[in-house]
Amino acid sequence: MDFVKKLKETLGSVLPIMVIVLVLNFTIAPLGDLFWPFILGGVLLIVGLSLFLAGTDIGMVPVGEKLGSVLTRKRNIWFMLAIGFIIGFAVTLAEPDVNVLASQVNSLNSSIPKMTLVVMIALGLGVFVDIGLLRTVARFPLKWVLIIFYSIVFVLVCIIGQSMASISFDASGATTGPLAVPFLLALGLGVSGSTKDDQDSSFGLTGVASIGPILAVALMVMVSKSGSAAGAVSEAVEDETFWDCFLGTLKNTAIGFGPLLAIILVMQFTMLHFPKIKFRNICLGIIYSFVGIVIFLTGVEYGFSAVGWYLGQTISKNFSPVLVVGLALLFGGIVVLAEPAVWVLTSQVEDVTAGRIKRSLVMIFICLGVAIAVALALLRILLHINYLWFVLIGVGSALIMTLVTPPLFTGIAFDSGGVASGPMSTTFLLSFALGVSGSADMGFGLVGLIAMSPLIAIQILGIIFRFKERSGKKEVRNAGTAQ
Amino acid sequence: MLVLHNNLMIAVVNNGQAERFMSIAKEAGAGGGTIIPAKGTASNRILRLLALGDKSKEVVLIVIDHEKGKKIVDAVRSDGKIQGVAAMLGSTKEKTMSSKWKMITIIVNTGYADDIMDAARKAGAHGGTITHARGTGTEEDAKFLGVQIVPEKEMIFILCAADDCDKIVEAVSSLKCLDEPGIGIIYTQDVVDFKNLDPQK
Repeated sequence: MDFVKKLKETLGSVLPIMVIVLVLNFTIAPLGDLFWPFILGGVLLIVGLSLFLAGTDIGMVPVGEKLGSVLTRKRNIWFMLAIGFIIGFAVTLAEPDVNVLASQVNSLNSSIPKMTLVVMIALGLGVFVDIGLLRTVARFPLKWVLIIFYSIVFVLVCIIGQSMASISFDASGATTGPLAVPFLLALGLGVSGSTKDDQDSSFGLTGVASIGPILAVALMVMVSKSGSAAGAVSEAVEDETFWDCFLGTLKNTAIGFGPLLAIILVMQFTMLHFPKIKFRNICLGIIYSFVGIVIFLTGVEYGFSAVGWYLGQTISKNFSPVLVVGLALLFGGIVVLAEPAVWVLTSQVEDVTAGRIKRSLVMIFICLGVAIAVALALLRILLHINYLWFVLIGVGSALIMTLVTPPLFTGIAFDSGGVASGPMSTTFLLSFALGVSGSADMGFGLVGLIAMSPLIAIQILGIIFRFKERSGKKEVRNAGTAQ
Repeated sequence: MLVLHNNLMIAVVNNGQAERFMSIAKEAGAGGGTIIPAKGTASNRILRLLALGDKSKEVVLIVIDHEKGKKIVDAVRSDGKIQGVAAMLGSTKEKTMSSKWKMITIIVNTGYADDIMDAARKAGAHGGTITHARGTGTEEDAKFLGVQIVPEKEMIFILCAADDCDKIVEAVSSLKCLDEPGIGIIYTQDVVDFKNLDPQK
């Protein structure tokens, strides 16, 4: 059964981080009271992630693909854009992370009202889902869409300055929650799969969509008067009981997921029309994903968040910065293995290419990228480097690379950006960074950097692939029939 | 274009074992093959009810004559590390033996496989393998923003005893949700040889 296989795989992806933390526990940073919550958190992570992944395969993914295919088949561009916009808008509006981000912005610049910003981000995502859909259907090269819009982003972030720039990049990571990402990925697959083409346009929808929030935040900051900072954000680690934690995540996930579920149900009876047993299985799948992600997030919040903060603080206080950066490198590479959406994306890559691009290969490159990103983010905190350099060099080189990378890989790379910055990085890694920096201000930008790193890492993989295939290595596999 | 007048060997193996199968097959005389990612449906009833029964599989297609095909199956069985089944389709030289097995293939618009497998199982099928494909045909002229739209299809392979074949075909083709022109086709083929690749079974 695949569920058992998934359990084994997730065990392999959560255990490494647990082992490292336990080694630290018995050597330089004893966890004390945090020890048992951490162990429990790890178990919840493994169970939750497996359930989530098993559910996504039979629930969210088929719905997204079918919707994409039905939208294309209607051959009505306005209808398609309307539905795409509604989905993007509704999903973002309800995402708890976006609200958290909006209050952070509000605390730095009081002239930006929280609710307005949330609506702007949601509008941004909705519009860019449409742009992504349009370019997928019309076969407009992804690289030009990216180059055009990221150039605009460049200009804007240079104007608004580094602290706001880092927040706007974080926005792209915050908007797409773990339940919405698989749906968006599948939607892109469905649209591209129902048109006659190779796999080049299968990916990229999520990547294009995540430009929206960056632009929205940057624009809002631009047009608003620079208000006074309302004081530093207190990212205090609260003493939550297990039940508080569980109920909190249950509530947040339900609010975030509600609109998407409502849309799916309406669609089933108006345009999807899944047959009886398929629909039953899809409902079960969605329930599994929901329960799984609640278990997963509870584990992260309850067990991992506090540990990250504690480790960052203890180690940066008592040991050399070299060790801190080294640990960041290690954490970054290993933690991303447990990101739910990364698993969904990599398995879709394997499916679409009929096994030509192995999931493990994509995984390794995402890990390497995130590892370097987290280490750089910590270096930035320790050395006070201007964030804009990271944006300019990071995104700049990613854009230049799109010119030589095979289109399929460009799509995968920019989609990976959105998926790599999931709940694990926004809690565990962010807490670690905050623990090191001691102030919330410098912790901003970490999520954005994590989201940026796969853009480069996966495109490097693409360029390597291109040279390998050009050297004429014949493969036994005749990849062809899938999708 | 290489023209071969042989049988088609179709093997369904667990995910990740197709490469190993191919390398054994090549040593035993196969020229080459095609690997298709697929989904197997489980026979366990409880897992099916929970919608957790599907398992990733790989389908291997090799065009080869019957005798060599037997050698391949024997070689894979003696290797003992591959779980799956292999069936040989097409005609035999000894025309006398009537085949005890049939393969039913259903090509249908995406999304119906679960319901089809459910009906097939009630009519006596033990399991099936599902792959994704693309159709051409009725919608061939449909264009959207200058790009051709092609129907997405699912191909379902069901190996069954020849006695059950008609019942299964009847059950699937009379499904209500398939009551729509152009939704798909169903056909059967003779299986001349059928073996489990796991030597213990």
